[in-house]
Amino acid sequence: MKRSITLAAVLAAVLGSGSAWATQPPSAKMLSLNCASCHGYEGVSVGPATPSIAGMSEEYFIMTMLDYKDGRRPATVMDRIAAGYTEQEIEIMASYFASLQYRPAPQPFDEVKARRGAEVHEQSCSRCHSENATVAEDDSMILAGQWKPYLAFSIEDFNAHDRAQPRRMRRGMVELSDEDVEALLHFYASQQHHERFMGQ
Amino acid sequence: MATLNRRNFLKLVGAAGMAAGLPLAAHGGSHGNAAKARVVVVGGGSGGATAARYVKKLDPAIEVTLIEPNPTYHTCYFSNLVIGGLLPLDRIRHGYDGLRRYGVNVVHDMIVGIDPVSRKVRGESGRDFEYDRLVLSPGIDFKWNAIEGYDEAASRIMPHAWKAGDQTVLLRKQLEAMPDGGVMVLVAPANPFRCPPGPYERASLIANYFKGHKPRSKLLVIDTKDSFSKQGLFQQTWDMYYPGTLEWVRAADTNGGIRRVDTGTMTLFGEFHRFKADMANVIPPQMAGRIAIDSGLADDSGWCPVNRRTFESTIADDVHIIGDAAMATTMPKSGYSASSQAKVAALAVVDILNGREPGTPSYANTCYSFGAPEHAFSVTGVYRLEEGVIEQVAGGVSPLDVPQEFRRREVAYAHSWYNNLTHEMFG
Repeated sequence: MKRSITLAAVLAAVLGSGSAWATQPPSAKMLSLNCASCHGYEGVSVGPATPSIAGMSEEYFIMTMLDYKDGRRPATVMDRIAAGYTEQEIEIMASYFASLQYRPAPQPFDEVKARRGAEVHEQSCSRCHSENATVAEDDSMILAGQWKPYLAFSIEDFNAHDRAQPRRMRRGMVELSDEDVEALLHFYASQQHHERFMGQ
Repeated sequence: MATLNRRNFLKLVGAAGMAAGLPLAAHGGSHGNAAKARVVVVGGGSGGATAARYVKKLDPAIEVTLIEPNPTYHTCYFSNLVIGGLLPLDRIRHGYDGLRRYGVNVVHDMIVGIDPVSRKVRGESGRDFEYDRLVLSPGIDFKWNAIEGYDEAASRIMPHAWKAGDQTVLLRKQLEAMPDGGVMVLVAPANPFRCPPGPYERASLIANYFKGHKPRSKLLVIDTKDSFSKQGLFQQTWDMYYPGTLEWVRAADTNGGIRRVDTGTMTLFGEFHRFKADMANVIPPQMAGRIAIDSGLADDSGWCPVNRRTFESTIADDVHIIGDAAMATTMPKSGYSASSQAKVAALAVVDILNGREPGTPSYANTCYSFGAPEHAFSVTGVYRLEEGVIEQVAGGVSPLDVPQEFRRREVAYAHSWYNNLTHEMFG
């Protein structure tokens, strides 16, 4: 019984419209290739600023794209781009990028600042951005090994109150000096060899 | 294997005759090497390099051959930064070793004939290349003498610099040699042409160079149009940075722009106007790359009609045409568009060769322009197929009237865009 209903539904969908095949959403591969030209081959950006999006959690990817699409997050270009995709397409892309291996950016950093930044991170950030901010399941960007200019832009937006953030993140960030923030960026930039990034 | 009959080649056959007379024969699909399908990609620019890489990646069992006459490729995008003295030429130069490492067979030859009946292309070297699917990414060629007196020889005196490389260097050298107080004329073409914002980015970065090094010099942009890409953003930039240095003259003010040039006297003529220049950059009207025209794959417009779902030529079977040469509805002729179309075509080629129905396409374009070294802005578009045409569903240009920090961020993202786009193509 159940099977016959399903079959009928499929037949109706196929026969009902001559262009039923054309209304299928594009494949995950097709959609994600649109992102690669700026965010890098397989979501790993060669920089210097555009973030890598490989390995991002599905939930964070979807939230980010919907925030851009609906104008809730400041952007230079992503608001204009996100508006072009349906929620279904965004979910397809999210699942695809979540399956890819994140790779940290090979970028210079200052070791003294990075050591100081490790302390700042431990004190102010580590309760949510766990394991040195390497965990996608924390439902934020993976901060470790992310391109420094992108992280700096994000912090500027948070501090300018242009970008929404959890209240306790706000409380933590107001206590950071410019030097603390600078040190944090160098700490995240220094996280290029974490075991989580060595997969595949 | 029978030797190819030269008469089968479409070289130098009139386009109109071709369109009517091309035999659309079905093929048995059999070829000597039964296990592998063969894809030949002609043209190693943004479209061709991307297509070759992705066909190989999506189905490593397919034999992919990329045929390109030059050992290196200079991107047209970012070449204005070289002309403006902001980047060295080698920053926009790319080789083909990356594609070779991915398993693409790269051959340096110039394709001079296409035979879609026996599915072969012929190189200038005399060598034939057989294919099951051909991807043609021939870029543009110029309509010499469409502006009277502007032919290939004239382009060595008044460079076009609209194909990057030697012409880029020539224009840069002329700028360096021009005396302070000189007048330069830049001729911008009518639509459609490669890189719609390109002439205005170039004008901006030349004006920036004048301002820093030859402050008494002037740049006159004589346009063949009354409006242009990212116009509001460019004009805002020009008011901010280049008043008195850069002047844009719309087509209506010269009755349609420059019609004739005389390289001997360095004079450019409108219908009623004449401009005496110390140097000139003439960007002439354009058409699909020569091989597409000579093979009858373009229509009367000079561009190649394609099925937008797969980028298969509507004139010849088993041939996909991508990039500047293809008629892709509203997608601008840009390196990013070429790359996007290459991905759509690569997925379609692999689906077809594996006996699958090609999936739903999705297209995108993003292009950055520099108005000044620390001042960039973008245009973007997301496109989908609607009843056979490519419809833009979202996008647009950067907002006017934003803090300078916004423009500086777009500079950083412009460099990332360039690096990731070319890294994806060339490794």
